[in-house]
Amino acid sequence: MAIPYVMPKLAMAMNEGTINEWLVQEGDFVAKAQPLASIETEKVAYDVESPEEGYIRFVAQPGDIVPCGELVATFCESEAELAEISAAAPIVGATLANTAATEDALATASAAAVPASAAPAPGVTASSAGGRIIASPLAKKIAADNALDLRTLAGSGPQGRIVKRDVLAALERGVPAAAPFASGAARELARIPMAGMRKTIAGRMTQSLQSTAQLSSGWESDITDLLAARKKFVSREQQLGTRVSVNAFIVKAMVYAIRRVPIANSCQEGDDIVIYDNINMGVAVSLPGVSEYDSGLVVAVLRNVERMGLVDIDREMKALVERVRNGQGTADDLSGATITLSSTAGIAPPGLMSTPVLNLPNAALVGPSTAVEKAVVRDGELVVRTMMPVSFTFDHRMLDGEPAARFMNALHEALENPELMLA
Amino acid sequence: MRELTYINAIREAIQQEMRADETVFMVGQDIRGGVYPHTKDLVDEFGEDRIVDTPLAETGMFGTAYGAALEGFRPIVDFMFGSCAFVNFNETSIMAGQQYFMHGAKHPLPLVMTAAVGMGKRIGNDHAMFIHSTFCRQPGIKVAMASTPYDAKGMFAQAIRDNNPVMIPWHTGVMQKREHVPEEPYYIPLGVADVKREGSDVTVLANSEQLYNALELAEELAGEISVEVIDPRSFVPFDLDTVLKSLAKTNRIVIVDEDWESCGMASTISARIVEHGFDLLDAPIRRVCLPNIPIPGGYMEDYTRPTKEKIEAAIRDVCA
Repeated sequence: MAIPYVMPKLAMAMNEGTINEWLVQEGDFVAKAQPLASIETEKVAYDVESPEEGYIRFVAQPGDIVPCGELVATFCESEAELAEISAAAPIVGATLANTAATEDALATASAAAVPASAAPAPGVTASSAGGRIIASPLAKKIAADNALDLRTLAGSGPQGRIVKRDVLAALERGVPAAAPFASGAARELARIPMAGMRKTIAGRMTQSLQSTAQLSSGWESDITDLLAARKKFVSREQQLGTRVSVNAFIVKAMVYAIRRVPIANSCQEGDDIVIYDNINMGVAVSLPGVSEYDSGLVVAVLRNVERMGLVDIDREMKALVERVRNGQGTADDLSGATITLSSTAGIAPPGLMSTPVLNLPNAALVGPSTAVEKAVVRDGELVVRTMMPVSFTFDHRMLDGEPAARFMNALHEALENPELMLA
Repeated sequence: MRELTYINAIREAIQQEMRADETVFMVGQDIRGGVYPHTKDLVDEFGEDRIVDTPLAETGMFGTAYGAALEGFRPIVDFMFGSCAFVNFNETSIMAGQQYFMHGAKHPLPLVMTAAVGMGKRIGNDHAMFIHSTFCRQPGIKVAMASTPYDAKGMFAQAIRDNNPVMIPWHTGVMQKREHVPEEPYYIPLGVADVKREGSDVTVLANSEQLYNALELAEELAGEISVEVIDPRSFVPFDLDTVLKSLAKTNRIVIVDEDWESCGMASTISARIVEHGFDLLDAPIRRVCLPNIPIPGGYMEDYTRPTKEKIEAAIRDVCA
């Protein structure tokens, strides 16, 4: 039987792809894992391996832009079938996505067509094709009984089917139920489904605020010297290969503070507080939403920052953020943070702090805000210094005020005395 | 404890029912001599009027039973091999089942049809052909197949006592199975399935020789996959409740049926499960049947019939 091959969803933010080039000839016998096509998303081209084997018939031609989940080629079992299918459907570019007969097969193809290096990112389901969710009747029923939105799940069954165990696991993880939209007489401007990333954000935020004892405290650090130090790096941008950002300094300062108060770098794991030796820095990254009205947010993870110098931190962080923004974030890029850095510059007005929400399961989050020049008293003199407000949100279940204060104090010291970052 | 073979359990049921009710008689070809031992020596006890041999003329043979049943007798017709019941298909399949309904519920037709069926002995298409699915499709006929000696005696006795035409073939692959069978008469109602082995991961529905394949597999897979094995025993009426109850626990089912795959009993059971138990399913139903081809001769049988390997593949498939 012919197996449809649909435009694979290669990355979280990918909605459509361009067939740059077929890497095989029409009618060729293609083996599993053989390079099949070069598919381009907005910024990056991937060479995709064949998820199936068979004689290939192209539906999409090089240059065609095809939405994810729509047919681009067909694998035929035999040359006879290839001839038959070619004769039956000669129109190039025709899509079968809406015919019931191919729905299941489409799901098969879309679930299998993920490149080996790009594990599906959180919040993305591998179990839908053309909007249809592939789930077993039992899985659907359990999900319906628990008001769980199947669109938030990835299936572990054959061909990516969502089965009972997936739903039970999701319920165990405590993905919250979808809340119904309030309907009223007001005119709708847009309707954004609480699905995918939105759903994940909603779930995580609610869970964070409802299941922890988090609080935020504010601090203000004089970063005048830090900015002066940074200038020396910026003036050597050519040699260093990057324009070192203030954020890189903040990461470095956090490493300094964590080394003095390790419990800030911890996660809750069941009934345990696990304090980590290495530091995986979660970095909040804003993303475009599904419409012009909403937005997206993920926490990208920069691993082992304690081993990096300022320049490496800066370079790696920028590469990571770019990967994530381009929708190429792998599962590794998007999980495993031990502490979070969340810039609240956009939320709090310059010079004022905010109260960022803790990124679970981390015990702590540092949220610097926009620095402003202020008149401050130094040695009895009124001087102008650049002051940066810093919020520190921590989970009081894991961290009491005393270590929290010690951590903030150490962070403050490092931010005000950047040479300490050499420690 | 006394043990009997399956084939002798049938003989004992016939013998005891003939002793209990003198309207019970048997008609068939060579049943006085006994090609198979279930009629062996019965003629010595009951005489030639109650163990009636006929020429090779199935229409006349069955007509004798049909007419006698209308007159108040309870005949047992032995077709020797299942496919012989198709010689007079109109009478066996259509008229027998519909008689009671077409004639104002005036004359019940209490007759039993039996015959040997089953692959495995390499006796060719005509002698191995399964007939239960074909008869299941005809309204008014009860259809059952016992898998074990104990069930064989109880179900045959019950079939003889039933006021409807009952087709109850038996599988040559189980005729030598032996187990404890009580001497005193007992009756197993038609339409009650039997859970032969309890399990929690997957339900396997299997009958006759395939039941033993399923049970052996369940034993081999124990520890890895917990297999519940159900013998439907009766196809019409079919005990869907027992199957759904099992499915509520396992959420997965493999239906093994040696009859042809197309429009067969496995298909009907699948459809009923989807109609009544859709929400219980966590995986597609898998059927393991005889493909829709004539049963080939000799060893080629082994490549067409359900085997342990095919059943295991189906189990692993639904448990994936």
